[in-house]
Amino acid sequence: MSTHVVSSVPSPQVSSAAAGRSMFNFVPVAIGWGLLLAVYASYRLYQGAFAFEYGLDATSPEFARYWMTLFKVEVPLIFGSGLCIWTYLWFTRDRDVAKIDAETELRRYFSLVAWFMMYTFSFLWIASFFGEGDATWHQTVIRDTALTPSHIVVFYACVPLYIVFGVSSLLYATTRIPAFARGYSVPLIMAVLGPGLILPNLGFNEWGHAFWMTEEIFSHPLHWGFPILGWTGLALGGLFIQVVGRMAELFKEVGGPASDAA
Amino acid sequence: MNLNDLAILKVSGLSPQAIKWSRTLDVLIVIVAAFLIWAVSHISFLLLGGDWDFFIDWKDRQYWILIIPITTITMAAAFQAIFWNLFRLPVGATASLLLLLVGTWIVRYHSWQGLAFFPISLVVPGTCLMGALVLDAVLVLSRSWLVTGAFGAVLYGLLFYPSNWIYMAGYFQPVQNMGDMTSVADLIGYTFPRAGTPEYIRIIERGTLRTFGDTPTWVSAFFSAFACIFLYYLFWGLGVLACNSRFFPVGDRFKSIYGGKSGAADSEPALKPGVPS
Repeated sequence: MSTHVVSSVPSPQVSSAAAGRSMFNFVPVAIGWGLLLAVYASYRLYQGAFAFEYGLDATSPEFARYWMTLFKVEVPLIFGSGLCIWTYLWFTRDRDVAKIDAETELRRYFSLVAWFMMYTFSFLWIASFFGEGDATWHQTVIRDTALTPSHIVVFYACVPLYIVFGVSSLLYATTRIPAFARGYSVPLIMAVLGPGLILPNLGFNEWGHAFWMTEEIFSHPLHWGFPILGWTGLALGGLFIQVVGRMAELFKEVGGPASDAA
Repeated sequence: MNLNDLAILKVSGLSPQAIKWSRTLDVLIVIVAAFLIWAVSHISFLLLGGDWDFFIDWKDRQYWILIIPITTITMAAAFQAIFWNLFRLPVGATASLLLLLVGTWIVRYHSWQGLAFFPISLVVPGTCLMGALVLDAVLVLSRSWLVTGAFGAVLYGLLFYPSNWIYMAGYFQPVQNMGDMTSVADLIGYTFPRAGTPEYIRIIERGTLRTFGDTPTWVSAFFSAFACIFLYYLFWGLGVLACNSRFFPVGDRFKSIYGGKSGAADSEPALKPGVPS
């Protein structure tokens, strides 16, 4: 298969001042990972403390207090935080993105990779840890509501969290990086939109469990929407070409000629 | 840095500063790729074949041997295609199955045992790692996805059962339970009932080949190997498709919404769809 690399557009300015300076700051990513890790660990501890204690009967007052309260707080909080981030990214967008110099463009590519680091990290927790963790609940307890202690974490906290980072990655790229502002990146849209559709796919899942089968065979066709939408994450392969291809050009442009090496 | 590294860096034409940036990018890409492989491999396996890996008493000779290889080879093939096409690295299958194994062990310990109190002996995961190593080895030796599918995928399917036999053997020891003979695996299963998968929906050992003795195991393994060939090709194709790096031009109207200014460079599309740059 032929792969298409973003064509190089000569940058108006090339800064030689970039030499000796770090292009990537790991601190914000480390802080972001640390915060997310704290959130996920807290959810797991909360489940350990209250899932079987107060989460078995959806009609009980304890369920309303311990689980519905969490649900009512987390959904607006996560999507509200996402809305703040998206609003910030939009209103601080570069209105002259085609004219940025090569060093700025390279820094922004590194920042975009940092957004991917947050996005894939947050996606990992639902696809692996809390995803299979949901099986432990379903194999133990027959469902009596769509809002189980497991679902309140995996579907209504973990999914919104990675949607926030996915859409933020998309917004950052399209508002700050020339290639992504000039054209719609098919793999980026796929990698963000596909996993994002897992949230609306819940409608089908819950409908099926409400009227079709209450038991849980995880491999049942009712669940196949989740992995199929998860496969769209593979589109990050195409995104790597777009990002790495252009960054390889910028390394030479910003870093200066190889003769400086001697 | 060895002489080979120095020779490669010389050919790259990068300055020492740019080499550092490039190395930084390498590390970041590896991290992003690892998270991605881990996540996509696990969610795919979990919801296509997970049930037969959750419990030791579901690891039967009819469906377990069939379903686990054909569901795990999908992402192994897709990531192999991505890594081979983009980087010429024959590590996609091994990375997929290794990270899947790490992920399942974490969940089995922290959620199955830690949250729901199932004993780890009931929920110990299987492994496809040996098959994945062979799959990558066939790819690097043959440098052909056709050959890898025809031979590597067959070996992937066939190797699953023997590579798991080492830890499984103990669970197949016969024990007496309430006057009847059963296996250790089934006895553990009887002791820890699972409300979500009651016996009436338990899809296990419904075949009629018991008179063949142990041979049904290998019948399943060969059927799995056969199915793996086609799934390998299908998902190699999906991996190739995922390497598509097209841009489609943004229209002027959308640009005006952005508030973006037009310019010479701005008016050029990043890439003409379908035309290699």
